[in-house]
Amino acid sequence: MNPNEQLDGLLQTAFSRRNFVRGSFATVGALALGNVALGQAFAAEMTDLDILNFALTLEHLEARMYKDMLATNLLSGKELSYFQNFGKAEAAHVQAVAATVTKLGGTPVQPKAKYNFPAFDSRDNILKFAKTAEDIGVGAYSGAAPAIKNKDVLAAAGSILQIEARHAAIVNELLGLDPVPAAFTSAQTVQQVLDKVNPILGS
Amino acid sequence: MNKVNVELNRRNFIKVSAAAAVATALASAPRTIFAQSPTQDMEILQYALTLEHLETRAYKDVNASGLMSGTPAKYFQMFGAHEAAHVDALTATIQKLGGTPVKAQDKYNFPAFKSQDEVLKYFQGVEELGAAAYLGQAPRLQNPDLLSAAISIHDVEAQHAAVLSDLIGVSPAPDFGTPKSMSEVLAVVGPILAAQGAGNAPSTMPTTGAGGTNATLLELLTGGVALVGGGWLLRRRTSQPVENRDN
Repeated sequence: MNPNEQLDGLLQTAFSRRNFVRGSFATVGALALGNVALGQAFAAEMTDLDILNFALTLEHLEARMYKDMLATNLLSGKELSYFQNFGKAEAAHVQAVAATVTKLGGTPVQPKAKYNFPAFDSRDNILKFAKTAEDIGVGAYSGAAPAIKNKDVLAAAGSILQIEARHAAIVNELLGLDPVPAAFTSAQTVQQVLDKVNPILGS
Repeated sequence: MNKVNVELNRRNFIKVSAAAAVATALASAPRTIFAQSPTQDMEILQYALTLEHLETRAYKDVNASGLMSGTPAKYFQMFGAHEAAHVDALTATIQKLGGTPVKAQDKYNFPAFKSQDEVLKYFQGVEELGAAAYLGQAPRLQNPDLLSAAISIHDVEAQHAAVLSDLIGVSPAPDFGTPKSMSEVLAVVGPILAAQGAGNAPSTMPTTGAGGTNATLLELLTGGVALVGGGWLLRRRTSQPVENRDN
């Protein structure tokens, strides 16, 4: 079984049956209403390595996405400059997360040979999909972070999350949307992340 | 968690604002969770609230100043509302955990802004500091529900910082976020909190390092800085030795 297959299996078995514990404020509220065991179960079942490889899957996707977007030559000026920086950051995240997985004794998940990206055939379509991907990244990291057990790993995840959040805000701004649409970001449940990511991964 | 609280939570759950929802959810978690390290978590909440009060007042003052126009003015209204929502969420959370939320100061040592450009540069520094502060404390929070809320607020501080960076023409996002410890943050905000009669506000917010002063928190607290109104800071002084607790 190659790492991608392993990851798919991981996602389907471990993630799909349960939410990221602190997946959203709604989830937290639900926990408060009496389903506390859910959080403990998730934290117990998911290892930091599982979470890191899930993060790495998203980072691979984002790194490839920016690479493909930049190769279109459809961006210019400040947008081009920002996307070059964002792509560089995602590539750095890939390196950092993969190194962490290795350090913890795991096998870093590899990038897919192909992703089901939409056609990057216009500046608008490029920005819109970048928003989709960055929003997923923010929601996924925000949902996963509280389940991370190793505080050093948590600190590293937070450091990456902050950059995903910044990217999301800037892409919003470039699209003419409210750059920071709410006072609190919403963490995504695993199922929410999977629903959005699986079609892109071809899973 | 008693039945009354559960019922209140249930009834309010759908309707409450995001801020109230955070506070309600946090405070409804079993007390046993908070027993893990309630003192450190509470200290971090009060620290965060101290910073949020400062930010809220800063936006309020500037938004009332007439200096802002155009897109930045629109953003500043939104960002100010976000900070106020953070204050509400943290205040409610501290109260429900049995603490006494630190209050906003009557006065802060903000500079006398003369232009929108000055405002933008200062606030970019404030927001960068806020993002770094939350990033520094997140791994120290013991309660995962508090961590979840802190991360959510952290994201928004970072987004404010990114947008303000864009507005002043600097890179909105490095490759990785950099955390700051409490002492690094307080070295910068100490002079802003030392408002009463000081009148020597820093004209710019440092964007890297501990900023325009090398003072550690301990030096600030023992060096005669008048932290009047910074009730949390004063209480902190009388608690355990700072150097053993800060991180």
